[in-house]
Amino acid sequence: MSDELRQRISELQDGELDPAGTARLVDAMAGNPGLRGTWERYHTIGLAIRGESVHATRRGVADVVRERIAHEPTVLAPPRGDAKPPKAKRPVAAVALAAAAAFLAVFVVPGLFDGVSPLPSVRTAPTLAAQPGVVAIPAQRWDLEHPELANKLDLFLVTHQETAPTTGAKGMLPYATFVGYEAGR
Amino acid sequence: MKRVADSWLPARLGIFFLLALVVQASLADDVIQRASDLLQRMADALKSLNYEGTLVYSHENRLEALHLVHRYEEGQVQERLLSLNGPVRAVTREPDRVMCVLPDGHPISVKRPSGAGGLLNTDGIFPEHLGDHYRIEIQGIARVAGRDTEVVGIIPRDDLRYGYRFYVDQETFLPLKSDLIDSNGASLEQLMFTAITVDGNTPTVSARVEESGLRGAPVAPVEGRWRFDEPPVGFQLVSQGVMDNPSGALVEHFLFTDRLSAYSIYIEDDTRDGLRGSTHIGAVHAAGRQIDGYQITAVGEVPPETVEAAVLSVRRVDDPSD
Repeated sequence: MSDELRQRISELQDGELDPAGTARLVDAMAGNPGLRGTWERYHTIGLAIRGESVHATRRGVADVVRERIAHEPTVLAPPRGDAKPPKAKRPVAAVALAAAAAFLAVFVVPGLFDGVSPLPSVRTAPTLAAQPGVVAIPAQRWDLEHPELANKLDLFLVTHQETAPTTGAKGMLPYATFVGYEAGR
Repeated sequence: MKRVADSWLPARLGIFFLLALVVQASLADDVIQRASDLLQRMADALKSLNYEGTLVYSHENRLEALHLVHRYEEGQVQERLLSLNGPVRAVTREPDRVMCVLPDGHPISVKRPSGAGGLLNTDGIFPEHLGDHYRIEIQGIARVAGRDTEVVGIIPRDDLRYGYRFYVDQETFLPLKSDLIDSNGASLEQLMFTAITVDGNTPTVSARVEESGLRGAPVAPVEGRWRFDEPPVGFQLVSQGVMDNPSGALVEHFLFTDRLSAYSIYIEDDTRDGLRGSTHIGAVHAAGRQIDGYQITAVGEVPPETVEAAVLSVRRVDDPSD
């Protein structure tokens, strides 16, 4: 990745990139996981510099943890008497387990429960709630626990606003929710 | 003589009530006409003026600061809304696409459909067509951001939709404050300029385009394998198509509106990462369920009851000709 791209990502985060440059960069990020990763790292650094909470606003964290846990099933599985790991690896596994637990405790669990409250009963139609497998969803920015779902709902919302007949006549009000809404603060 | 006077009394009362009705209807017509004029000028100003300013967005007892830049040059609009508090969140609108940057590394870029919605194809708000589901009021004069505004209220008659209260600048006709309101007129969200700079105070006044666009279009006939039984009262299907989805997955898109409020129904043939139940951000609500291996999701700036009723209205048919 070039220094110029890094500079542009930084400018975008600072709100200093012009609209045409924003368009090109957003397109580039949409198709480049590396650029997205850089965006996320820069954003995390910015949060830390400003002294703001990291965990509540990074949907990607839950994905990362979930992926790591999926690739390290033995860490969370109870040890079996007939299948003990070699002695030399036990401390490593213990450290990994402790680290994973600490990571979950510090970054993930607070993010999942910050300000979570069940929806008022009046907000859920009985017939809808009665469906099998319905999950109570936190009243936060969509659903922080399922980042892919949240991203999809964001995409649905933007597409909806762009096709709804009176969006333009309302000015930027339809987008104020999208931009102004910050969960967990 | 007294008997003659008494016989005229019912007729006089009838004439009095008739005149009262005529006067009331005339006043109502005046309100509608004034509101229509203000809203048309507001829509024109929103599109054709150059302006920049700081806004305060209020929701759920929270305040957020936003910065808006709007440019209109040679018939092209560029617009950017940026959060000033917390993580960077931004929406940039250009003639052919809208881009959103959120703090989680998932930027969104959506091509703007031609001929429907969006700034360049702005349909105005026409109060004369909203009477079935909204009350229209001229609510007086108020001062916002140091400027005089005239207040137009569009108040919903039931709890299936939200209304708006626009504080329209008497000089530029920009909405210096916009409230999202419920059927009691209570504010759910507010967006207000605290400072604004306008280049030029004369918005381009466009001809009314009432008979074009979605508003003038007939209700879209339902095609394909999906039917919508008893959608929320007042909402009608006005368009359907396939969403431009970056993932490549097929997503059908159905747009419903009551001519002011709107919601969309999305239908996917993949139930992974599907919404079951209800959720929201601010006043935007979403509800979802699954039918025969399809994911049904409704999204819109409408109350939760409306999106929930919307997803429950969806039915799949085996024969599209049914």
